[in-house]
Amino acid sequence: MSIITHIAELEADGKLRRFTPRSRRPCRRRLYLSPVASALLDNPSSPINLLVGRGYVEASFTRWVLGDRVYGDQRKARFLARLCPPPPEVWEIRVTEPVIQGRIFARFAEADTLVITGAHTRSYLGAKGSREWKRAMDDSVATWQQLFPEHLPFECGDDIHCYVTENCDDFPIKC
Amino acid sequence: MTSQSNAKQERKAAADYGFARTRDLAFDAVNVLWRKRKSAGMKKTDIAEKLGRDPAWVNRALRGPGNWTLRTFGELVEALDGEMEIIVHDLTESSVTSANYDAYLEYTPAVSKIVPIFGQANTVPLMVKAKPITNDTVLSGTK
Repeated sequence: MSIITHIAELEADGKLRRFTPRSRRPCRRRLYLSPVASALLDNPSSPINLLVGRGYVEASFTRWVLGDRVYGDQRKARFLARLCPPPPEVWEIRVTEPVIQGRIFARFAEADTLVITGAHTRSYLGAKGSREWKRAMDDSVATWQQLFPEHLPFECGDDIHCYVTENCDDFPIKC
Repeated sequence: MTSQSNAKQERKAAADYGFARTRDLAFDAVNVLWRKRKSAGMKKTDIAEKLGRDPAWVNRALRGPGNWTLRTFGELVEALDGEMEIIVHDLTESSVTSANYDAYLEYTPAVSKIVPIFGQANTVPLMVKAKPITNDTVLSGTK
């Protein structure tokens, strides 16, 4: 079974939720919420909602889905980043606006198709390489494996344009 | 959490969303012109000089929308010799969802129905939950 068919089945079963912003513009990319991510964003008392704010998180989802610029430079500022493995192919969307920033964990199912696996405040995660980072990345993998036991995440080397096919800055994703 | 504080949080989420989207779109629009100017040979130091700003400020502003204000937007548009045009569309005037499924088309198991994220009508951000086909859930779109 292709991963597209599997996603469609999970969605039909209510195990994945697609994000579709209220907009006149058509969707250009896909974003699905895992049950874990849904629960975090639906819970008004979750740290990501209380400290970062759901409005900012959803604005970042909207940027992705409507095909707006995936910005990034040669240094560290970027909307989307692949985290240093292990485990491999865990990505983050950076919600950088509020004082307490958010990090949305995701994996690619295909090019232009993200499955959100979790969300944490940047302050919770602490310094890169911390136990919290490792746990968050492992949780992301576990969530993926529950949803897609027969599929590995999309893997496409070190070229961001292979993952994001349109309207994306040229920035390095190799650790 | 009480329903009153939930409602307050909903309002804050809608306000944050509106702010963040406005800022993001301003950043993207300026960046389109910046890339054009850059390919024609303009440098960030040229912008800094035009604005009387520290080059580090220009560098930060063009890296991401994080700290953008209307002032940032206006200054950069001016420095890039651009003209802004702002249009706010009325989302209540027509079906906002009919053309909204392009990227999702081949992923769609059946016809889907849009439901608000927390079951509240008229909040800006929406989620879609898959539903079986029924007579009253019809979407259109082109591949």
